[in-house]
Amino acid sequence: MDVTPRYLGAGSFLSRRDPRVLLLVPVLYLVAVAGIVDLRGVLVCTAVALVYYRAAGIPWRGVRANWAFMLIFTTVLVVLNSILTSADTRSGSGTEVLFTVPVTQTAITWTTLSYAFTILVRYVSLAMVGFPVAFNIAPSDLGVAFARLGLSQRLAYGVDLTFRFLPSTWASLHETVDAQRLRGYEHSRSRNPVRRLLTMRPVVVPVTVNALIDAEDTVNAMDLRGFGGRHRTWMRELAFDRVDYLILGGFTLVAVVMVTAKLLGLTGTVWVP
Amino acid sequence: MNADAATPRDPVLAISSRTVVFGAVGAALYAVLGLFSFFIPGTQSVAVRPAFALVPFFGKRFGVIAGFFVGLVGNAIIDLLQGYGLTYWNWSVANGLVGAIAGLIFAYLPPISRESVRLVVTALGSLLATAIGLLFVITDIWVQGNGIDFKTFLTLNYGPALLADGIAVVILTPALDAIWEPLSKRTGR
Amino acid sequence: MTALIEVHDASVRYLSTGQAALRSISLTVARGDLTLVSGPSGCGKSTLLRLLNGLIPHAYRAEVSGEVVVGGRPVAGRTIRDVSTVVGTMLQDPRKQIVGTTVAAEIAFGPENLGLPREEIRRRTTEVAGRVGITHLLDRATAGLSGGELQMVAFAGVLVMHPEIVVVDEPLANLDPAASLRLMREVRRFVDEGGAAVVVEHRVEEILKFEPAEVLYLEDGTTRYQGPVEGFLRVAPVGHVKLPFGTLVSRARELPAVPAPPRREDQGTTPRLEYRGVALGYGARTVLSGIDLALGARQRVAVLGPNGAGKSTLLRAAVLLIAASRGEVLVDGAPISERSIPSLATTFGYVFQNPGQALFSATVGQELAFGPRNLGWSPREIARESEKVLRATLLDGEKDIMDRPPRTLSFGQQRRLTVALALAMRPRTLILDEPTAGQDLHTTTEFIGHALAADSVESVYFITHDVDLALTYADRIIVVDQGRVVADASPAELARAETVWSGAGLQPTSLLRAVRDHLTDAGSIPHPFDLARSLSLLSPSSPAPQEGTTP
Repeated sequence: MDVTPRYLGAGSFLSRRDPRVLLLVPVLYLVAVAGIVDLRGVLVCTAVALVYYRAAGIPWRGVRANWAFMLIFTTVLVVLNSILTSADTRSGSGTEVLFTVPVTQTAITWTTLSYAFTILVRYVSLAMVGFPVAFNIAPSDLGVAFARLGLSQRLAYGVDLTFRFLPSTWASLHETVDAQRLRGYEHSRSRNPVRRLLTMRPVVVPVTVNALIDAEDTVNAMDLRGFGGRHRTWMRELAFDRVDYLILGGFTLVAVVMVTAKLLGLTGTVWVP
Repeated sequence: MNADAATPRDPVLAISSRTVVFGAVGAALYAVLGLFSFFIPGTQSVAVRPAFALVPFFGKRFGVIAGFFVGLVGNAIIDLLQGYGLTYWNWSVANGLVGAIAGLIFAYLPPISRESVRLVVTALGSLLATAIGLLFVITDIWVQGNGIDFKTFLTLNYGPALLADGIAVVILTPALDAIWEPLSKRTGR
Repeated sequence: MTALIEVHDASVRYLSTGQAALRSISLTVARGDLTLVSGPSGCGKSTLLRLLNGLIPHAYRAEVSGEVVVGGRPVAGRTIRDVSTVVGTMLQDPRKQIVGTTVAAEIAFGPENLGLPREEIRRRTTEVAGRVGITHLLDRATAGLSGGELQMVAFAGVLVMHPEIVVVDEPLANLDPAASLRLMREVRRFVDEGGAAVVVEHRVEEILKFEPAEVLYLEDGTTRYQGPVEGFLRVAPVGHVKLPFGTLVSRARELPAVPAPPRREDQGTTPRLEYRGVALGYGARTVLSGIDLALGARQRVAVLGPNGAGKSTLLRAAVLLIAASRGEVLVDGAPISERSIPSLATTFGYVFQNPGQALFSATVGQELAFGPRNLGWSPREIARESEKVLRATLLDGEKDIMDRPPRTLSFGQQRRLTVALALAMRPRTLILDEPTAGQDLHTTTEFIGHALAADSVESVYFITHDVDLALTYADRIIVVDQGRVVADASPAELARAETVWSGAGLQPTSLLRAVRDHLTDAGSIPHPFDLARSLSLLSPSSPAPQEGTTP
């Protein structure tokens, strides 16, 4: 697996935005869709999310595995949730029992189905506004974006530094696995989780200890190049342009409308066709 | 942060270049090693991620901020690499809280010289931090509206996660900590 | 001339360990000076560097007496940040120094921290990149650079701070000679243009070309020699620093006797490791191709070549860490594809470059038992074997060695431990990947000596970019460059192969020239000390080539 960030959406509409926009939109969107039970409300938001996602220009080939993984996991989660959550916690008109799940004896109604679908769609739409963070922000812009959002300068640089360490950590992991295999180490196939965890030690311990020992030198190197002052210049200049303001304004509006609707109780019941 | 008791401790929330570098190193480690997980036999949802043990370890050894950073950024990167995007953002925050709380707990515990006692205390402290930190996932109830009740939260989200992460923490965190103990004083810092 | 660095009678004691690392050191470095600091591992070189760049006392807790004045002001009263604008530091391993994800970000890091205006940072970046010749790399990711490129980028990141002095920690330790010399040429130029430099290195021979004004030789934290180069060459301990061969000849009488490593005759048996038309690579990237080689069961083979040439890839194929994408690899005459990694562990003991890569146990005893236990050996057998390999690697003298945490051993001891770990599985051939990287001469000699002398081992194959090491310890040298095997010969033959030395990132050393000029037979060559002795007897009046000894 490739652990370096993939800048798939280069050149697209969203990639030309200030990276802070891409970080703020998911937050606004989360506020908008949180707690909405009415499928129609979520669908309206999802339409907005879809337009946003299309603007990211992420090639389908690059992320289809991600989407497949995400959809499978989320579907399993939603199905389990529907089975475990008793239907009577929700009000609604569709109380006619369509069928009963064996074993748990959960009654499945239109309400249950509609609600399950709402959760699924919400997760998918959250993924749509979240993917551009992964694929449309140039990795070197992430630190400065956080810094300009008010995070401590040093911690913001830590985000950049994490991405710097990813490939070397991956290489070190490989080297250690190779070294241990030559000592007859094999990945445990045991069913006992405790034993499996214990057999991780020959890999986890050296990789961690090496990284920590090397980090001492990196700390020195950073100190020796003046890291840690109160004021720091970031070479990347960030400025919101009109389009950025429009996008943020638009998502703020969606959030305000949806929160108002929720407060007014308009989106609090499961919608049954 | 200093191993030597003779000098005053750094303030718990101080951010030095050490905090930044060790936070970043930890997050990268967690992200890379965290790509590996396995299911506890007989369950379909309880995935043990051995690398989770790193989160309380970094909290304990390198402080509240580094611990929080490792959990939050590390988990966010795993999600990005695996393709969840930011959908499960609250899990990243919960991971961060585990590291931060572990940092807090161990910052106020006196150093323990007996190795066996230290191992047990490390395991219990890390488990406690995990139990408290993961409670943040309760925010799912806010996201999903009234559909997920507290019982579902406990049985579907919190319980399995605590079980899986708890096992990893109890077994691997003390093991890591024991290996690091004799090395921590070595650097002369 | 203004003194940029003045150290008066400085002593340092680390508070965490209570250990005194330096005792009454004095040093003056003026503009235009290049000072060489040398000495064996643990002599206090690193501590001296930390004293100059302010890490001591500002980042390390240490008790300092005496005075350290840099750029006219005492270090003690300033911050590291402030000192960093006067003293630039190159760490030993550029990989640990690099913090930026791209080259441009890496170079800008220091000026960004100083809060300089963007325009100024851009101007400086362009200027420095042009100066050290890395303009074409500016947009590249640092993770994808070669070791030599990384070192230049790291140096640019130091120069961009506009320091007046640079301190350079072991520039030759991690890279092939050609890349390190490029860096040293830049350092020299920096000095010539009005700067100053302090270079820590035990490979004295290579640094002499750059005309150090003064040598400071440390041992156990105290000054053993301080003064001009000529004097140093007369007194330098021959077993601890790498001196020009000419110096060895003129000091032939002091050279210690070296036990000849056991010679094992290869009697035309089945080769231990054979490559037939092999290509090796990772994924779509081919690293090596067209390899036809047969390495004997009783040979000592050095694989020589620049960084990234594919030396490790070649020998990793012997233990199935990489499979041939074309052709066939045979072990003891049988195709390797029929073997498994564990079954190969008793044929080849592979010792990785970084000793820490595999150490994970709480004690040396447990560490030694890990491999053999995986092979299913009995505890009794394991205990016996552990004791034997500790003796073979001279680790048995260490107090309570079996109960020590492996990572608390010294770097040299950890290297020997990794050899012990490999030997504990009773391999017939030992493969050493860069056995000497980052070690002083004495440790190297000791290490390679043990590896070669281990009596259970029939053959040793080692990877190195150290020409002299290959000449001294191998009876066959294979040179790998740009994805191909470009030479395969005995040391004496190779010394005369002109074409090899013009390319391949290799630099002819004074030992190589001596071999070329004075040895006529084609086989392996005597130890440099023995060669020096015999040459000094031949011509006692004219003490041979005067490499680098500046008048």
